[in-house]
Amino acid sequence: MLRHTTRTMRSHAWLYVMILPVIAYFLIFVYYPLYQGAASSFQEFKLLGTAEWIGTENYLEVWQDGTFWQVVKNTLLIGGGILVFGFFPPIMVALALNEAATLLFKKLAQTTVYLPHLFSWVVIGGMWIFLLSPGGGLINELLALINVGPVRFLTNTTWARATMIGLPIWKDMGYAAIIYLASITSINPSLYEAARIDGASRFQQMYQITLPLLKPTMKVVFMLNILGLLRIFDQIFVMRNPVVQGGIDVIMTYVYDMGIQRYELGFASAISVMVLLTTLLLTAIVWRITGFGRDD
Amino acid sequence: MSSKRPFSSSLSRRSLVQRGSALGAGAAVGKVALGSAQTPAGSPAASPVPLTEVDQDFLAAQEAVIAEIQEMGEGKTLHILSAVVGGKTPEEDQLFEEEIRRLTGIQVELVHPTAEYDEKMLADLAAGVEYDLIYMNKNRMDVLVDQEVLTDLTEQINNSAILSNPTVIPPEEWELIEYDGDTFYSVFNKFEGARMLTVRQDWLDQLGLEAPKTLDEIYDVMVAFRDQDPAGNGEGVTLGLSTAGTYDIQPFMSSEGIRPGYVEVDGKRTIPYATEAAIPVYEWLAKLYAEGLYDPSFATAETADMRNLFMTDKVGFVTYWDTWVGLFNALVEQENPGSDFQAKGLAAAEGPDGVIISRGQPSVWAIPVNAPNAELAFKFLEWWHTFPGIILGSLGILDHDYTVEGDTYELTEVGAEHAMDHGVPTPYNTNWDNPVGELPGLAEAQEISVEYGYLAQLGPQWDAEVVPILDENIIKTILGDISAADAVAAMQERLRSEGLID
Amino acid sequence: MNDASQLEVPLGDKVLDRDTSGPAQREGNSDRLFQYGVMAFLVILMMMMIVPFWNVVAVAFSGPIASMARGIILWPREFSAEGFRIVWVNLNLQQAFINSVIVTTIGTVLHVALSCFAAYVLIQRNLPGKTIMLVFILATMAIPGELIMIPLYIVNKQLGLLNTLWALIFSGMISGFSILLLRNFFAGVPYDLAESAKIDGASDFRIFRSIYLPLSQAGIATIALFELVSRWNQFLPVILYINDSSKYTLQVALNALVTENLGTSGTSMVTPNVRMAGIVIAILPLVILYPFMQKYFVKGITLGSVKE
Repeated sequence: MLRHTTRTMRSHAWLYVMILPVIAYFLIFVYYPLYQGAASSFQEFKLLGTAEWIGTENYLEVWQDGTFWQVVKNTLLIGGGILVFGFFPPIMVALALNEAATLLFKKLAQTTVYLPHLFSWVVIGGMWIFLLSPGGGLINELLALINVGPVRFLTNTTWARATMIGLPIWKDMGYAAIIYLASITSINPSLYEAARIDGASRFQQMYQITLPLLKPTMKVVFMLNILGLLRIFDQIFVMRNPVVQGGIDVIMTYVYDMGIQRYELGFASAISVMVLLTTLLLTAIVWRITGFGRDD
Repeated sequence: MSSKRPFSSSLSRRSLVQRGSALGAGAAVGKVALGSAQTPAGSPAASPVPLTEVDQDFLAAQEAVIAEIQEMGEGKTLHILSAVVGGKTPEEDQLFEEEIRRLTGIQVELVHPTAEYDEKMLADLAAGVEYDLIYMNKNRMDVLVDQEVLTDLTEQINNSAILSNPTVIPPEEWELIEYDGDTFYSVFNKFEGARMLTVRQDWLDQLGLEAPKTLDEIYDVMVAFRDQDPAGNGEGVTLGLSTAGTYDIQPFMSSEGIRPGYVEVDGKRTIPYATEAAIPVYEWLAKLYAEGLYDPSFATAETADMRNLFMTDKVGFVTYWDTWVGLFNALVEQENPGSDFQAKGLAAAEGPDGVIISRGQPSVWAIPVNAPNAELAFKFLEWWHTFPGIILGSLGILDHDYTVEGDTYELTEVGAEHAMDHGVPTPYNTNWDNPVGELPGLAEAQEISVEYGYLAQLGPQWDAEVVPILDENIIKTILGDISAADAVAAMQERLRSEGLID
Repeated sequence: MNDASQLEVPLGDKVLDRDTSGPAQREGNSDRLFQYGVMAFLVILMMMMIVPFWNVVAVAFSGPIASMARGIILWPREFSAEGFRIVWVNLNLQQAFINSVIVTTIGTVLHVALSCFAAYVLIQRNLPGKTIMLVFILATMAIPGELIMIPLYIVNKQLGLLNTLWALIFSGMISGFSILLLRNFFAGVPYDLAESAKIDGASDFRIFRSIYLPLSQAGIATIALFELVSRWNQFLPVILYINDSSKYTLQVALNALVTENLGTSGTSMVTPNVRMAGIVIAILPLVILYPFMQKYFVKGITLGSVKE
């Protein structure tokens, strides 16, 4: 058995050579720093000089910290919202793009849908604060036409949470759509041809051929979203304000505030480590449920 | 050289107050940051204000420092991490380094990140990158002192003929950055002004109104601005007040004698903003909001939004830095020559304790304990408060930002765009007079700062822990979500439960 | 709907391809309706995406004071290219642009190449250690950046990378994300093709080069595009790792002009038109490049190869 394995390995020596730089990179630039970072969560942080080992004190502090549990709750609400409501829009966009009548229109639409992704959250956030403003913002002006509002999108906790879910979906829709579109592109056209011969309509082709064949990609995208679930940061950081901060601050903004602003690096690292472990656990569960990673 | 004179107690800011006349109209620094192509150098042809009343001890000390730094700096390099001091662009940063070298002989490596200063500083310090000088504000210094990262400079400051001279830095100012009553870890970068109520004086004039002094009068003027429409926005459109969140409502709090920050009462830490005394002011602000006089987007507005509304005739009052009174005028004049626009600093609503406005938190230079050239770094800080240092920090770089002919200083087009701010728009040194002149209306506004400016006692927890609690409740009550009494009760409860007040 | 469910779609490869051109010839009414629906959906979507972008452009071309007025600007107010002029005059963008191009090009090429290698290895069946490697790579995606920010900075310092463009190239040079995505695309390549090539005596590397790479162009284009964009927009690493302004990239150099130091009584002020002009300059190269990337998404690549 062992000899067999060794022989297989030797016959695939090239494969190991190919992946070697990747492994080396991750060891040096990710896992070694990770080890250091994780170690600091067991230390009392000092800017200069050697840090003192304090066991699990930081973790205990995090566990007993009221704000921490509040930001966990916010993260689950906002992150969960993005995960659920953000799943189907990119698929719809990709399917629609695929069905676009002319190539020119398709290209145009594809470029446009991807546009917001080219901008940083600083730009996008600033713009939306403007658009959502209760004093003359575009959205409230439009709502006024139908006698609604003004809605305080960013200064009412419920609305602010909804906005924090909606905006990233809007911004990243084109991004995920491209992944799906690339998958659709790889589908063998002869499948459609056969369906056409059998008299299937465009909608039927889409529903019965394209969609089922996108399943592996859906799994991947979902997996990626799970990995990002607890790490939402940018949109909150850019758009938070004091009124709703308690309701929309997420784990990573709290880590930022504690670590970078208050130099409580041990405390911040402890939270980060917990985020890491939880994410891994979540991923493992999803992995098992979706049968991801099996050779399908 | 030794100037151990008794410190004078009054804060004389002659240099800030007595100029102004050097400038005719608002054209002198007309190019501020907007930089259009017309005027190459809009500076007055008049010769600079004669340097009268310069402290002789200072002059002697200055001469000594300039000579010493040349000697000490030869062949040495200073590593400087800076946020506001330096060039306005990466290219100008290099010229800035060369200018320091020309003036002091010191080779400088200036690290001047364009953003994310906190991350940069933290990463560098944690990684053991060595700097000789680091720029920071008071809050950050509190944390770094706590971390024992900064060099104790007490003795050096006391022995410094320049820095201990009361005409260079007024003695009571030193108390602002003192630890444990007698220890110093830093030296000031520049004089920090105050934030005040600023009004459209031209609108007041147009409607024949007096400058308001109380909350009621301010309210009446706002209503007049809105309904009589001096701005030409259409009736009922013009806003009364715009702020960026609760930054800064102190000019209104002043009406009840409320001070910003912590105030000690009978040995206990209290926060006046979170007391019942503040209720009338919150109710007044909520009234403004309910009646559409307050910018409806104030809760999410940035200071830039507020300034923009003011300069585009959308709002009659703002609360902002004294320097900006001058800048507002210069900027609008620059863009619309001959415009009626006139901003004027009004200080604040008067209360039982007179007028109380907030002064800016000190910005300082500190020397980390691992600095390779700590001695030279300190010499540099002394030099920073001499005339050549001040000119570099304000006007900028010779033959790039300004030119000199005889005694006449003139800003170049670039220099005008940079608005005489290379980190030190207003120095502490009272012996110095800006040879180019100042922004229109600024001198007057700075006089108000000096007279009424109050520096809040904040402490290390203020920004990160106290402010969010105050902001949340104050904004909610202004928006009308909760009553002022409830807001105060909520603030009291949270501050107490988190051990932030006694 | 009903007849759709009865439809049997043959899923084999044996179907003859008689017509590869666009929409079906026998377009029924329902197809046309469907088309209109799709068009309407896309048009609304495009509007949603384009308004904010258009706003940026309009502000960039407005006059300084006019650009400060509140509200959504859809047409330049007091048309002026002043914002662009200020950016242009004040900044030596040439060097920053070159730095950006260097870092983006090298970074993206390395990123795509190494991701392809790894993805190919990870789709092999019966390769000892494959699952461990997959977990090893996948797990990197769960690590919060804040946790390793400072240790990573220290690693860069120890390797002598600080203040070099290499630090920027190495930052995020490989990501689990791209590998995972590419692996998914590679998995879509019929395994039979590789098997038969192997029987013909082709080496692993040869199969990779002549079968997987050509058949996964859309996937490779996708990660190349993603990497290109994120490289170009790279910001925090540049601030952290680069001290020497002659090594700044475009984003960071532009930022010197478009941000103010708030919170102090300084006098710096940037009008929105300058800020927006900076943003337009920063993303323009991406907008121009994007259509060229798109051609790799065009239908039919797979088909062409399979038919040979």
